[in-house]
Amino acid sequence: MPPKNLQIRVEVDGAIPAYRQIVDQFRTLIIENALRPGDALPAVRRLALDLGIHFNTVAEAYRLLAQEGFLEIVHGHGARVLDRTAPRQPGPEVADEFQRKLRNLVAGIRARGLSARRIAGELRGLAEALESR
Amino acid sequence: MIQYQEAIGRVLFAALILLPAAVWHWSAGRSQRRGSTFFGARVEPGFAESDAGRAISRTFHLRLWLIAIAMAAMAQSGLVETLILNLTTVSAAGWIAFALAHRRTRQQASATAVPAARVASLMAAPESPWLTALDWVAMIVPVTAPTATLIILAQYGTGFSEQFLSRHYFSAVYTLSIGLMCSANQFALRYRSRPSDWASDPGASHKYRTYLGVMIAAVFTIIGAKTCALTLMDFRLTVPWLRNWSMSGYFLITFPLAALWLFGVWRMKWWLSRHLATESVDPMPDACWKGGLFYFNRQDPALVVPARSGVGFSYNYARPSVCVVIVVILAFSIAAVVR
Repeated sequence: MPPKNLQIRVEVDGAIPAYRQIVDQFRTLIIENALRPGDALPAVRRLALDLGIHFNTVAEAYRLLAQEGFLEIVHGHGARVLDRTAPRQPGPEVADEFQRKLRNLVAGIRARGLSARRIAGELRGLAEALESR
Repeated sequence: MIQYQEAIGRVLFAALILLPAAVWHWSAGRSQRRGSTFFGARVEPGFAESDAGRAISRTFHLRLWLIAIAMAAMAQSGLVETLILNLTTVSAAGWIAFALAHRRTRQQASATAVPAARVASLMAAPESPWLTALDWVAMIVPVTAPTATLIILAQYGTGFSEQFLSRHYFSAVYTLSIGLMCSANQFALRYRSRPSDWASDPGASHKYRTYLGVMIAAVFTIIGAKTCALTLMDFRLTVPWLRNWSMSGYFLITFPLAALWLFGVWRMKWWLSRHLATESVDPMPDACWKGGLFYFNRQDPALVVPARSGVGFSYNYARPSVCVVIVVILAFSIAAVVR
């Protein structure tokens, strides 16, 4: 639970979209440590009701924050602030997605004429650089 | 003696017709409005006490009482004797008079600005277990009597004519639909309304909404229980444990309940007068209030909002779930009248 009475303010008729205002404010609160790792965020429906805006607007803001690595969204259990200094455990879908994107990229580059030897060389170099970090 | 009784009956009938007008008078009067609104429109402070505000108020009351007295007179003279028609006309007169007053207020008063920012607290408000229990009671109790009646009809209904049974099934299903509406209403008040709309303090807001829903549930539970009790009277000889059932049993249960309800109303009025913030915290523009009475806002996820007239609430008629419930209730009501 957040330690003090923190607030989210949304200007509905403002130039910045409502979901962006929510993302910006949550990000600031997390970076300033006002919201700490493990703190639960209000449910999407509750925040949307409080602000008088559509559920999807708040859900979109939470999705963006999760993509940026600030939040963890567990279906049925709401959203929690993540510890961004600790290494995150990727799910199997992350490895699958990486593999699929890499294969598509290699296929695309080969179709444009780059040789398999050259691509393999580039990938080897990339792998060595990653391992040396 | 009979003449006296008839005269008293006529006076009571007229009083009943004037009742909706009295409710309108009380709920839309200057003393009952939410802080910064007048006849459902945002106005500058002091407008209600200005000459223009007083004139609008006077015209509203004049229109309302003229129609109500005319209806009562027509009922006395025997021109219109249907109570439902009289009550509906007087209630509709109240709506129209209010809508006209709302339009005039918007024309004459300079509207105050809608709050630029809406604020939500990230702290979870502490919940009273007593109020939570009361919320659940109000969600469950209105459907228990009709559900039990339907089960009894299904279990002991064999052997009766189809026409006889269908009439009783219809009553039970109709009562169940009203009970479900009460449950949905309580659910909406608890889970789908903006707490800050009702009071600045979340605890006071929860209390207000619970009391409101409980009172509505209590009225419909008592009416529904009477319908169910009358239905079951016809099955007394078939259902072994209903042999000794009589309507006095119903009255024995419902009179204390009605007394409890009246106490609740009085308690709530007393409590509200001490705890509720009088300033309007409605964050929505006037355009969302059709005629100052009906809330219609597609962007707002809230299903129930407090009425701007000062008493009661309005559903958000832009929400599909609200429309579905209203259509179902209307369909049942029309079917009941047609039958």
